[in-house]
Amino acid sequence: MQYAELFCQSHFSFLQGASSPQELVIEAASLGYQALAITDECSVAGVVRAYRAINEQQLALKLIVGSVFMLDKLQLVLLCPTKAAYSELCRVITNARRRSRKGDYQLTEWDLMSVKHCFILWLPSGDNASDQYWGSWLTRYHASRLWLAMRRYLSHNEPQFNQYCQQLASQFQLSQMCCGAVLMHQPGRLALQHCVSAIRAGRPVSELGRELLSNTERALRPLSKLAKLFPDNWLNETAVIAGCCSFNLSELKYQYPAELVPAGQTASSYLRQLVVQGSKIRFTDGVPQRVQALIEKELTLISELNYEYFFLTIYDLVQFAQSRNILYQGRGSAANSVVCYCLQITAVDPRQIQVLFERFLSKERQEPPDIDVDFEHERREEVIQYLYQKYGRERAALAATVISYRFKSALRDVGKALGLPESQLDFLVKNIQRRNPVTPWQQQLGALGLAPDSETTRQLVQLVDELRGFPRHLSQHVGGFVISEGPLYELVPVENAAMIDRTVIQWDKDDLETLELLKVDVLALGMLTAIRKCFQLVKRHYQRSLSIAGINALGDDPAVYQLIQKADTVGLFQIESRAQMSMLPRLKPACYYDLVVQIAIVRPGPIQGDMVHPYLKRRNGIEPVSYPSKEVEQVLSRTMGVPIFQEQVIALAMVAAGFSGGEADQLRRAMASWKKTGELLQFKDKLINGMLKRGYQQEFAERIYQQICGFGEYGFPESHSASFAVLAYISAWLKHYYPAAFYTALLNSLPMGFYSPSQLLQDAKRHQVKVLPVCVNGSCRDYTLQSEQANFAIRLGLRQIKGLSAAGVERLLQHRPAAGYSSLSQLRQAGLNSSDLQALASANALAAISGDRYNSRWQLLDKQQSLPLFCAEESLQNKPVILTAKNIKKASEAQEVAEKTVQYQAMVLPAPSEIDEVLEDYAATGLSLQQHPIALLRKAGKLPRSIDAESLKEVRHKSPVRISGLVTLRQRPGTAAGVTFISLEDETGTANVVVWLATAQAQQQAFLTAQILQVDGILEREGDVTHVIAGRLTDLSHELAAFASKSRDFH
Amino acid sequence: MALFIYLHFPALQLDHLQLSAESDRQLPVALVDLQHQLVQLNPAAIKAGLKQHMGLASAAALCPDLQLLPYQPEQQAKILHNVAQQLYQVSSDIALDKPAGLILRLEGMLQLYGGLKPYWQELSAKLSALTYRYQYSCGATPYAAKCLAYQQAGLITVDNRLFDKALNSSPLSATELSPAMQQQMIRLGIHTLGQLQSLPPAELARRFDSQLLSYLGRLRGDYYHALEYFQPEPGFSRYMELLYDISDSNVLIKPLAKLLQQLEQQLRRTNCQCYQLLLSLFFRDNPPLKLSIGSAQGEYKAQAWLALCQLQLENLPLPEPVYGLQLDVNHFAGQQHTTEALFNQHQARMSALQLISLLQARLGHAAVSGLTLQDQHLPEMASKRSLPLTKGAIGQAVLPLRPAFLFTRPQPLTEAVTINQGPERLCPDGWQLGAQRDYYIGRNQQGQWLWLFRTVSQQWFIHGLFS
Repeated sequence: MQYAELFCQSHFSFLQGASSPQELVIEAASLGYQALAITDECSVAGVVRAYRAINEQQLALKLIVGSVFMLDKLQLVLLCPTKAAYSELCRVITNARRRSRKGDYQLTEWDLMSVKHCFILWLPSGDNASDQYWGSWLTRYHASRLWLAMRRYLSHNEPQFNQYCQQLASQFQLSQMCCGAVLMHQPGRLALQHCVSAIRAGRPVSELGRELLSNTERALRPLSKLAKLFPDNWLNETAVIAGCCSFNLSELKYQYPAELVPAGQTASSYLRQLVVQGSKIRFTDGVPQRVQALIEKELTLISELNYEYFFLTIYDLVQFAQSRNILYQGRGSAANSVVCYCLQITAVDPRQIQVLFERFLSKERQEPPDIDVDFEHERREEVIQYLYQKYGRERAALAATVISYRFKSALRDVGKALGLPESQLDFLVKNIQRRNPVTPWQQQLGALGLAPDSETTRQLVQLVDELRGFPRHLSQHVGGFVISEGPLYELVPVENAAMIDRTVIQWDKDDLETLELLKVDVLALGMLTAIRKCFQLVKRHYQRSLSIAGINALGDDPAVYQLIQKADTVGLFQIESRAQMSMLPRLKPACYYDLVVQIAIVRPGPIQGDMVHPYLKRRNGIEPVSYPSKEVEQVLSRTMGVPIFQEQVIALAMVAAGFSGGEADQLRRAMASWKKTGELLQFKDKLINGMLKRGYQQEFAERIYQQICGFGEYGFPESHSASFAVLAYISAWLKHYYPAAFYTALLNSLPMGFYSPSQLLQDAKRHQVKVLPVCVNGSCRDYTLQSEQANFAIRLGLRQIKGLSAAGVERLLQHRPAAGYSSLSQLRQAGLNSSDLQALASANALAAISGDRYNSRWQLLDKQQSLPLFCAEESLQNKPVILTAKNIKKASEAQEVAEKTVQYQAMVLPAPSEIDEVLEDYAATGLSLQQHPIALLRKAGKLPRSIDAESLKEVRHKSPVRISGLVTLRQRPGTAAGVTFISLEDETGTANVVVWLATAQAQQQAFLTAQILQVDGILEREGDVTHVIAGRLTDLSHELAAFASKSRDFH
Repeated sequence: MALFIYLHFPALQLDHLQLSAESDRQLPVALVDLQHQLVQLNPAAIKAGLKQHMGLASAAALCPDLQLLPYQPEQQAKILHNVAQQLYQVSSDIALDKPAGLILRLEGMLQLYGGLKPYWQELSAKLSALTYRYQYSCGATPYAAKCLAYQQAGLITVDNRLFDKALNSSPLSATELSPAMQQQMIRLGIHTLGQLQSLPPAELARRFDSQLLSYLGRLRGDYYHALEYFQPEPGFSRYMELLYDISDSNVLIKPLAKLLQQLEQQLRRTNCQCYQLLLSLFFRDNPPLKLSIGSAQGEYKAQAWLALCQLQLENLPLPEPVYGLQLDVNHFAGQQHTTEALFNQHQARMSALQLISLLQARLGHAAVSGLTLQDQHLPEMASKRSLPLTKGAIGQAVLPLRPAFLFTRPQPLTEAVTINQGPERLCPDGWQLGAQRDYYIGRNQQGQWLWLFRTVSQQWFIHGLFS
């Protein structure tokens, strides 16, 4: 007996299906089905995953692409027998989806009428009027491709319903076939199906009653059972239909836009021409022979793999950016090639680092070329709009990102479905510590008030684990564009994203990779914005033109590396975090490649693999550099025998554990999606056994596996690090030579990076840069450089004032007299509303006209001064006045008020105290140029025996110490079990405090809520790195009770 | 001179809850409002470092074993009302200041009690008996007293200078000014009531709306502050000492009838009826026995109530002779007249509600129930016992074919049957796939239509009979 299941929904029919496409195809194959159609509701989002599973596991199962639709009471399944039918289906889905908001669809009769190739399975509703209408409608338009689908769920009125369907079939002379309307791959998923149904309905399972499935018949059923349920001819009909379906996803090919190549040229010749042109710009003294050879090798490889259009597309993109003066930088394995250097996609000079270019594209690794291009974050939209303009919305769309259930969302939704109260779920979600190394989350439930062995708790645990990784909805990829020659909707359905005017395709980047379709990544990077702004400032104020390539060409500058080695890296790209800062003095980077390593080493991968210390030892010459074998030496020689980068680990899997190219690629993908699926485990045995067999140590193999898991959390390849290192160096160079311009540019590019404006400005002051307060007459919108005694000072921008509207800023600047404003009424006349004026007063920006903030506010509050006096004045001035009685009265009233106003002298309120000034500075602008609050407390004698951060340098190793400061950061890195880092800021700098779990738990109140913290502890010093190991924590927040500066917690 | 006392109950609902649950007092408990903020805390929670208006997350982090309960304003209002009712026995002019305060006017009381001190003694004794936590203060105006009570000033005095001194140093947070207004003041450097009052009213009027001036006026007593005083609720509460101890519960009916007569009179006067009586029997040694007698329909006739009481007393064993009776009715309700036709046949019979009251009095509340349909797949869950006369959630129309008689426990099938229809497979619980059943309709030799099922292990049972 032959059977093909032609109606089967995966979990890409969100909150209906309870099994993944992979599970479904594997189960169908093992049950001996001939074919399986994945027919998600108005979607093909799951088919590629099914296709990949079939190919990877070599299943003897035919995959049919289809989709199920609802239109009022009509339910039908469209199946794709041919490529033409597939394009048709994509078009129908696209039309239905584009009509609705994200996540919905709206099918019309016209869509169905236009179907010419798809097979149609009709599922009658049981509503006679509707079935009669659609029965005759469908037979009128689609008789030759139409079947009536019979179902058996063993429900109570089934015999009657099937009899009714029989009648319909004979009335409309339809062939009948049978289907399972599958929602799960195995009966065991029933509980999960109930759970997702409840989430979909927004009510607990217990309330759904008979809306839930009454049994497990919606699972894939064994052939023997189907044979009992359905007559042979219906079963055979399914096989016949499946036999007619010849379409395979591998037929889909991507046609690149042809307009990129000028007439009369081939893609290959045009690319060569561009590379030659570019090489003349890049290598002004002629191309070195070695580089020329590399170019040839790369070009040959590119044309062998047919990737010319991909490079040309990106070339076109960066050309546009160049023409608009948008700063950009390419990264990724393919980006670090001489070809990309010549095409000006990247600024990484191949002469500076040769090693990288060996791994450009590789045939045996079977990975697609990877080039991400970062653009200035404030101007990326221009690039995106350029793409839309050039290729049109039909031909360019963003790849999707499948948003999946993560632990917290799963816990919340499952909890609701099981009927737990929402406040309790809030509580659980906030208090379960997923990274707790000692107690897994399941056991924490007991401590958080759920009875550990109750039925509900057991169900909660199981369902949360099952639901994790289930897709929840499609969202847009951060910047992955798909561009094609013809309309995209013939290749893949397109639907609306949440953002207006954005469309996404139904596949994500993994799906595209599976089908070998290339995407172009257009990403946003804040540091590029800052660098460009800094270049502009330097040009305007110092008359010097800078560029990334230009600074690079100056060669490694020891003065700049000195700054980096001192960990004076606040505001620098990639090396400004606390972890990086504590590593810099130990690693002491002294050249470009050191920076590449530095950026990659402070990551979960190398840390979990315990590779940091061996590298440090070898670098400092404490441990000899050795390699377990010749092959490994090839892979690891540039990092002294210690695997640091993701590529090295993958190469090790091939060289040392005997992975094939295809397997290595699977490993790479598994790493990328590890968090979602936990797929990595399957490689563990193969990796470790492979390495043992080839004579490597068990311990080394285990560490490599741990490192792979670490990469899974945050993968970081060398090819990206190489590009980032360029930007890290450029930012360090700018900070060293043009500090005032650098901070100004950075402050104008926020939000980005680790530090708040307050922290950046304090760092600026430590570098002897003067900072001027915000002023209604002196400030522009942005931070500016103002010359101040032969040097430049930073003037705070109006943008720093909280609550000041953009329109208000514009009016203020537009109407500002050359000599500045001289009264509040002038400001009112300029059209600033009261909330803008209040914001200015709060920031003390009105000091020049109306005194301190108390008195500015006091004057602003005066209702009689803000009466429509000036409106009246204005109308008198601007309009020809017709003297009517009313007008005269109005004018005289205004006059009166004006006179009164002149006579009136507002009483003067007492000025704010120093501490109030500082507090208000923080409240209004998040920073203060006056005294540091800690300095005020110290002066007031509130911090007995506390020393400042600067003085920590003089304290001996292992001696007791007390420090106090503003908590600016609480960080609990996943890599350091049970430790929280706290940064305490005072008037001299930042002190680093380490709090062990036990300390934190014993003093929770101070630990969690203090904004000003006093720490008694022991100072520990390793090299230049100083920490205070916390003993006693004391909350001093009440000393500055109204303090408004919020710390960054637990990121 | 006018004098007021303000009583502020910071955790009324929570304290009330804790009264009834003795054992939990050591555990930290807090009430949470809809914004997930803590609004009331018990002493254990305060000891754990929790504060009012703290968010749920930080509270949970500080105190992992914190028990949370929802804050219910209606509940709180009821308790406040009860407190007023209790204090009414001591003090006459009480105004409710929802959600957590009472304003007591003292003028008449001082004369009655002969001074502030004796009055306060009486009042505070009553308050401690209530066991709710409270803060208090006297003041020359209601707002002044309130402001001081919020700061736990605890001033029991008539000395105006003391009031002024305390008021001048009061933070704005203890005033009635809106949070926005308080913020505005702080942003002018004005932190205390004293600072605020020192500003010339003309300057304030130029800058602030009338609310501020009206508050300050009432605070100082320049403006009249109208209060709506509490009216105690009507109710019935009588105690009767018996002439001799009664040990037979049936004999109790006679004195009880007298009390019920009195009740009927009062109900008639107010044209009311009541739904529930509380009857307490007092013994020499044992604690009093409290009975609650209800009428679902509402009654005022002594006769009817007596019948209901009789049913309950009939089979009530008394541990020892009774020496006193107390009858309480807390709520009177307006009479609802059921309009009936003059010659209605049912006139003489009792209504469904009366019947239920009777049955419940006789058999106990738990023994009387109705039957409703449930929206459930499993036959044993498809119907449920519910309160009498309630209607189920679903109608008859959508029901599948089910037998009229269902066995409480399915019976093993022991005879030959012919299967007529099926199977219908039921396995609605995803956690017990082994409990799957296939239902059939079949007929046995006697011609009975049976509802049968087969389990996964191929055992057959009869679950019901079709009529």
